[in-house]
Amino acid sequence: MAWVIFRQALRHHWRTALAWGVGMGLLNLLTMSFFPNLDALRQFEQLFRALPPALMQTFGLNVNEQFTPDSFLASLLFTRIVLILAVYGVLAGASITANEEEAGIMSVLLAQPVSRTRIFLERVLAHAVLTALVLLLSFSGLMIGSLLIELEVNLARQFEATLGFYPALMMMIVSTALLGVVLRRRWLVLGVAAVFVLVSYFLDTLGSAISEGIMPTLRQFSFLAYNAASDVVARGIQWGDVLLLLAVMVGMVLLALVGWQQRDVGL
Amino acid sequence: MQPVIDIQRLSKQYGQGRKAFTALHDLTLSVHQGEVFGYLGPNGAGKSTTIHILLDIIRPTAGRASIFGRDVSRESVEVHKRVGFMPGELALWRGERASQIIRDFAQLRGNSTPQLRYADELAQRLNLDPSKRIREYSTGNKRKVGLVLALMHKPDLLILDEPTSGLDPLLQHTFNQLMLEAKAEGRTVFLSSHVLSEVQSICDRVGILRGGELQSVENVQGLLANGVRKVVLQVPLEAQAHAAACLEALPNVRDLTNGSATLRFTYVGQMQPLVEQLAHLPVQDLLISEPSLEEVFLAFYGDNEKVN
Repeated sequence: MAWVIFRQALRHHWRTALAWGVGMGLLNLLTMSFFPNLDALRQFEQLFRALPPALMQTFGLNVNEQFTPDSFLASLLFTRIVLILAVYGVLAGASITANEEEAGIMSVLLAQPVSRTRIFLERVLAHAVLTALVLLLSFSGLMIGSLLIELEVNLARQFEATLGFYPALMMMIVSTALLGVVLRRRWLVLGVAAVFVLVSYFLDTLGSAISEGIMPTLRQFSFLAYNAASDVVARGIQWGDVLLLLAVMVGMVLLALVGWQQRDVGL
Repeated sequence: MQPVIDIQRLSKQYGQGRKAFTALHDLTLSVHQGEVFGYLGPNGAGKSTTIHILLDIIRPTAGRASIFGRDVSRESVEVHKRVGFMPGELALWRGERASQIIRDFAQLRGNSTPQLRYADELAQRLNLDPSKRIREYSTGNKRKVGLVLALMHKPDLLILDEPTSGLDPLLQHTFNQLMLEAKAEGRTVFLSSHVLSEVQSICDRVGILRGGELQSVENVQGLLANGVRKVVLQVPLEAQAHAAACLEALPNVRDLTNGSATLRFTYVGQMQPLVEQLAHLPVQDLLISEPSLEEVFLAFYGDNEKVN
């Protein structure tokens, strides 16, 4: 078998991943090129500190922590990267089964001597590799950008923050793939996945901004709550959160495999 | 000897409750080694449903099917190693080159070198340039790609869904040759069609499917001996009643209808008695054509009549 499905998936999607990675890298580079100097950063801090704490948290800044170039950079980059790369994640997830099932290609593939499980898993694995490529290219823009600014940025921490986003992005891919198994139709899958990501995003944002009432509890249901870049910059990768996301992801993959294994294809 | 395809009381129902639709009902069928079996029926009869169950693309509601003695659902990967499949409407990755897809599929089966060599040979015989991307092919050339993919590993069983639809006469001839070669090598072919004439020259037996039920399994020679033709005859208006009476007297004339100066009927069996009768009538125009499979079926079995 020689990982034919894996290699085929890499071949089909590497250009898209490269384009996304380069695009994100350029966006990071652009953001860095407008990054303020130390004086401006202090002015920004004063401005932000004048805001209500809830609003400050909305920008990904922790009120209780020191306002550092790293935390400010993380707030600039990672609150935006979540929504932009969510588009990549959802599209990638739909390509695991839904796209080809709707196009009628899956019937041809399933008539070959390859199991459904193998098709699903090798494709998820290929997207795991490609997603890492996207994030690495995205980080490379940040790395190059750090050479352009006066402020000293802790690149190791920024790398950790980038890496910390990997489980969340994979979560978007896997959850969309699961939706693909359940819903079958491409546009329906894309629509529901987009709603899922947006709801998760708002639960996370509002939950971190509002410290009272039901919102903090609801925030626990958003997978993005386990992926706060500002937390990573301040405290490093939270391995407990990563493991939790991984466990949920494995559960989703198993659920998708059971559904994929049992149902009719291409109807 | 164990049949290559063994289908026992296979049923497939889509949906549930009031929206339920039975696509296949209680199908029992065997196809033997070295046989070219035509699976015939009008659109929506359940041909593709049967094929998709055999390939484990969809699962049956009841009954079981096996290929080479292996259950098609539980042992699908083993079954597929010995099966070549061409779908009715071939969909492939539009941006990929055919040669790349051929390589991938060969690698999925392992030992790809002889498969690729034979794929080259097939491409030459079919006059196909496999270096092009799928989106660059015409419908006919896409079907050629499908044929190469189905045949390149010289499978013991070929399952072809409407393989002849859309083929030009030259390609149809090559296709027939390839099927006869497969048969000569002792391989088995299971092909579906809704046009009897397109497959009658290569099939040993045909199964006729209608409304999800197998109506009959016939020897093709027997079916041809009882050939069915549609006849449209024009006679002067004043001779129409006489002509209709003469034709109705023939035992092989069925479903005679009488329009303005035009007589239409279905004729079953040897043509000689009809030709002799027509010689005595003032025929102005005559059109004899092949009927659709549905009409053949009606001519033999009548509406709603189930055989076997």
